[in-house]
Amino acid sequence: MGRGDAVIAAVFAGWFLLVLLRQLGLGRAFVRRLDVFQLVPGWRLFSGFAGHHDYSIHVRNIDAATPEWHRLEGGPRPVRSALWHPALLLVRVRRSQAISVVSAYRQDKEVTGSPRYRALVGSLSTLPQLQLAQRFQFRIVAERPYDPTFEAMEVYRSPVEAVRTF
Amino acid sequence: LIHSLSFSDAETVAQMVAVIASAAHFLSAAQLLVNPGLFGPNAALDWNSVRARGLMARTPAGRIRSFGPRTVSALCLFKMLGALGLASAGLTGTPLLPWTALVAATSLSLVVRAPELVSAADHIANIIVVALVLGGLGSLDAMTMALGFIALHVCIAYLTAGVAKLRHPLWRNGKYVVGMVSTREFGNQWIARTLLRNPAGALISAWLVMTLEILFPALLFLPTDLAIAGVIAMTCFHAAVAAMMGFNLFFFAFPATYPAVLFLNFQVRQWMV
Repeated sequence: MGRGDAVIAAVFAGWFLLVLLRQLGLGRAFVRRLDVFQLVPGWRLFSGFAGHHDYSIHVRNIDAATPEWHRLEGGPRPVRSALWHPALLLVRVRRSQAISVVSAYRQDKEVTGSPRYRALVGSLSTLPQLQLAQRFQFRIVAERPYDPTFEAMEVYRSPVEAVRTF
Repeated sequence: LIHSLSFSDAETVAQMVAVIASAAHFLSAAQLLVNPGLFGPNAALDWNSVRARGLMARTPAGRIRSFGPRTVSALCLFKMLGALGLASAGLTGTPLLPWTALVAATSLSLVVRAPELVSAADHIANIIVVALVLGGLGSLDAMTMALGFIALHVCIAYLTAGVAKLRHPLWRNGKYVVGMVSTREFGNQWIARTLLRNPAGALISAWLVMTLEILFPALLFLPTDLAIAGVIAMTCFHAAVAAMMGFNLFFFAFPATYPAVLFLNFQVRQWMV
């Protein structure tokens, strides 16, 4: 084995060690602080609190005569999603932002000042449902639309936010 | 067809891995390319909000002022070009390195730009190309190490996922599966109704998934025919997940590692004999 190969072997060994540590929950903060390219992911797929619910976002125009909640996105996935599913990206972003807000709220952490919350408020401001609104509110609802026995639960309600104009 | 392939030669196996992974990368970039609206100012992934976060704010990427939809589209197009080149190199036996490097560079830039969009399938597809880049920088021994790394990494991934599920009481009694298929985002109305009427079906599905995931590393030690049967079963599992849950990238990204698993199986069995 040449010197170049030895260096490559050391890189693989170090990388594999970090992967193992991350799965064992050791040095998680250290790995996450370094891993800007997400090459040392956690692999606990679909075993957290969020995997068995939709975290849907509902918005309402506070200034409307009857401020009703409107659910964002939705509808069944098309059959072609098995091959081509670009709509999943917006679903994933909204879901990730919603889960981040709910997690921070449950842990009594600062919610409304976080960059993800601000990004969510900014992107909700551009929704057609809020075109004429000055102020709005959103809520996050845990639900399972295909399970009639499951009652949807509101898990977060935002303070009233001003619609951002751009 | 699988029997006619050779899993003993690192170069051939790397080409197989590259061809399958290129499909995952091409599809991932194409799906991103048709979503430019996510990246504009005040869109869901506005760059200013992404770069303000803890990890990004501490890196040089956090100092980039503008990273809008046009740059993202350009990166996607280059990644798609790289994926086509990679597939072509894998099929014709020409060097993989220029293409793996292009795919890795564009893909990792997109990870920095849109961290929320990185799924487990993207993770494994990126790990594959980065490992192939490293393997391509050295001799054939380095490529052997790269394939071994890919195989061990995917074994750890499945094992961790399976054990984490096994520790969750709702997975053990099948209710997590019912919950998952009852969501609009990942679920399916017909399957949800069927499993709600037949809780035993949910229980069997849950234990089948956990068993497949936990036992995956055993493929490294089984006789080759059984290992091949195992990877075929896992490919069917990912096809089912794509059809039922819409996780289309998983169908290419995880099976892209399977030639490396069979390669390592061959090496382990040689060593055992």
